[in-house]
Amino acid sequence: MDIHATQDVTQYVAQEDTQQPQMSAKDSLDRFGDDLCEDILSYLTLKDRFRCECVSKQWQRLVYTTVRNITITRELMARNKPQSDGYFYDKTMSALMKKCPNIVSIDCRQLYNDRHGRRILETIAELRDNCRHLQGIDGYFLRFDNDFVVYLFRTFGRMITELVLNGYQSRREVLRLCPNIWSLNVDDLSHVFTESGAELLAKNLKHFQFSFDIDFDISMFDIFLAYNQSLISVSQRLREIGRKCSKLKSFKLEMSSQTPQLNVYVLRAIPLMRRLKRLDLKLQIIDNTMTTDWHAFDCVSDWPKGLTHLCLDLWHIHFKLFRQLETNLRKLQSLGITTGNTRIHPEDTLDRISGLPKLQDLVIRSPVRLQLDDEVVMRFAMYSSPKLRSVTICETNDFDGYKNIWFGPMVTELCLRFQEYEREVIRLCPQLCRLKVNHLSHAFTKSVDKQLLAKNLRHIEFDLSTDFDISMFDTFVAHNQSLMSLSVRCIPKGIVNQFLTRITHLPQLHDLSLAIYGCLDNEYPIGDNLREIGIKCPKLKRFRLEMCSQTQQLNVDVLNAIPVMRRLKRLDLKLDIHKIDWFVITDWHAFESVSDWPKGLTHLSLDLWLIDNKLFQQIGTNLQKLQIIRISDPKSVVNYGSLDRISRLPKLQELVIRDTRGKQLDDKDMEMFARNSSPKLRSITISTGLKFYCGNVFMQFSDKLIHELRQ
Amino acid sequence: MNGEYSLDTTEGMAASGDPPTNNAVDDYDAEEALERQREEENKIKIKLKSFEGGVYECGLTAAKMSVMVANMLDALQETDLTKIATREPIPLQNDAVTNKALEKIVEWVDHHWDDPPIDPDFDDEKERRNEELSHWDKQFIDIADQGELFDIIAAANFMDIKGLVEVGAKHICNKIKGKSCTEVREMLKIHNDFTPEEEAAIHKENEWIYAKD
Repeated sequence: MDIHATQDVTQYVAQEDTQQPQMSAKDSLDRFGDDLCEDILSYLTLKDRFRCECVSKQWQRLVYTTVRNITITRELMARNKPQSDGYFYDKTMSALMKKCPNIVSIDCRQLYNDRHGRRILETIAELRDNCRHLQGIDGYFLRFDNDFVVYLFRTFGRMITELVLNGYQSRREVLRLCPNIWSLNVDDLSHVFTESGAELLAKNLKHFQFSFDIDFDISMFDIFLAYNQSLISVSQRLREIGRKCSKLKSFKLEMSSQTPQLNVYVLRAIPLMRRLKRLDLKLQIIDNTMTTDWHAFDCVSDWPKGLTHLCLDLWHIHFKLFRQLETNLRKLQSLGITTGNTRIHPEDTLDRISGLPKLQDLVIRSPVRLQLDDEVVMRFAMYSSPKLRSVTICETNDFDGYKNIWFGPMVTELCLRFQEYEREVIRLCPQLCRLKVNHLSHAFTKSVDKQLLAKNLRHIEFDLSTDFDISMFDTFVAHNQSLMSLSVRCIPKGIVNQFLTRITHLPQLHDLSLAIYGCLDNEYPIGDNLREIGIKCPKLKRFRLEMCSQTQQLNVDVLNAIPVMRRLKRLDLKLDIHKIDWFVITDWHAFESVSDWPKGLTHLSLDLWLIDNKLFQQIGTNLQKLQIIRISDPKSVVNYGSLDRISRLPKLQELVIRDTRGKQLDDKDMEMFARNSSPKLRSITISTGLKFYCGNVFMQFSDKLIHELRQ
Repeated sequence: MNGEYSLDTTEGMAASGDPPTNNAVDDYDAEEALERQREEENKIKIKLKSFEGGVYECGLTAAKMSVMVANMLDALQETDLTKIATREPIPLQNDAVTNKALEKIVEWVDHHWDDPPIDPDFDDEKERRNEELSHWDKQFIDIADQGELFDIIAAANFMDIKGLVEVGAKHICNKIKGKSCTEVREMLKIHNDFTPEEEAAIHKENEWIYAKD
């Protein structure tokens, strides 16, 4: 490979080209002069540049001149020729540096061992005269061996302008070799002094980052400040900074304090930083029994009006904050909000935020999934700033979220599944409404006396196991008389009777979901149980039951008990038979009770041991308010005749049939159904096999989607 | 809080040499005033005349995104801005500034004139070259007729509208991405002025970059 020859050719070509200007076609890139062409090619990736060098002589002389920063990626290094060890470092590196005369920085952070690092740096040192513009080399060099570090800093020390010393305070003496350093990160302020503490090593810095240690010595900071008057970017927590560093433009602070008061002080210190453009605050409180005055956010009205980037992760978010943001921080381009354990109403929030005229990026992180309906999103997309590029709404990691319940009094929902060791946090949440645990015992203390932690709940979800102590449920019921929704999975069949009779002591129950584990014997009084629940829980609106029985009689008992639940709106039954007795199964009267089912039913989901036309007949005639029907059909008896019977339901919007055995219905049947059925009908789904419904954990609207929504 | 964290002892040291703090407030007010002025000025419409003679109206601030137009307006030394509106159209004397190109350019500056200004103090704002184009820009620049596309880029370059040249350049580079030399030449209609031997030599030199593709 003869690089010099190539360069000579380049120069020669340059002369020739200027001598013969020629007109090119309108749609040919040749029409552009060198300046514009160079500008255009400057957006190519390094790889594309090498590939395009031979497009034309104009490209050859322009394609490398705009290379400013090179990243030595693992992928690049992997292009080593296997037979020639070190090919990349010796030849390609020098080729790169010779071809690209204007390199400003080289990023070697992906280098993983000294040998590679050393060879690249040696190559760079050799070729330094080729790269007169080289200003920086990024790399994790401090972890290499001592000889290498000394070599590196002797050779390049004068060129080094930025240094991250975190974790390498033992190497701090290298600072002496770097007289031109202007940006420094260290773990502790003492690390910029010699080990004896006598001499300051870093002077004339512009950027500096450090964390506070407990034995932070204030006099150290004095000396430091005195020597670094031009410091313009500091991450630390003193409010005085605002007054003293009047040029501060970016401020990031993470802290958790004993009382909310301290956090409010921080918020109030922000107005002093008049030139602030970027603000990233993470303020939490340790003692979450403390309450906050809503006026905490009053000071936002005095925050610097020039703020463009704002990221807030606060101990509490109040809707007032959003109002303040909308009115006062009109220049925000990027806004990130972590809601912590505060529930925010997406309608209010998004409506407020949509008033920000310059907003480009919005991120909302919330531990509970935000229920966004299409209307809210549409409205946001329509009224928000035309600059909007991305909206991200995601759930924060549950684990972290609940581990730090900074604002217990505000927490209304808690999921402790697989985190029962954290159960004590329930104590800190007096307003808790909704609790999810793996086992009911997790709502009690771990100590021997088993005190109930969760009281006055509205919603609870748990599983049961065979060693379940029914007295525990008694205690729970006694302290949770206003419980509205109860969801229990895996009720062992041995305690079903006991358990169901306890449920009748919950008069406010609206929503009941039960799944029984194991196959129930014929004598089980399930029908009586359910009838009693129906009478004692008159407010029951939703009922879900999953069970399996020895013979169909028990299942029929269940169906017969439904009429007692007079206010039922949603019914979801999954009734199975352990051993199908084909002689008994021909009893069509099983579905007679459907005619007496509550007339108000709007959602019906049935997965029965048997389905026949008589059932459809009954549904079609008696349940006129049905909006959604989901039917799983294990025996493939659903045919057009069946569907015809429910097609005249006037409110039907959605029909889902899970056909576990394969196709019985064809497109023509569905077409007929669609033609005859109510005008409200929106969707028909026929699926084979099992279908898993998964929730949207993560939503992201790209700006493309927003554009489409607008149109 | 004040007492607890006070740095009173260093007050003199740290504050010496710093400008008075209310400077920052003035700074902000000035910025704000400038922005209001830009908004007001954009309500004034000026006329731009293409090389082909078509006249297009454009807000004053938007038009000033073209450094060339801004310089021409400055040269007029007109203090009463409303008079600018009634002036003769500004002629753009370059054959790339066709009617179609100028129309598109006016559309672009009209959408972008109120973009937030770049703050050079932040490294990630210094360069927007690594940012992907927004959906709006992508739709804007996706022009089937390559001659027209090149007209717009050349016209934007002539009028010195950096942002628009960047949009065009990124669009072209996106199209080049992953293509071979020959394909690039074909797509952009570039004349190959290498001899086969020269081309083969460059290929050999850059062989390593193809190694794993």
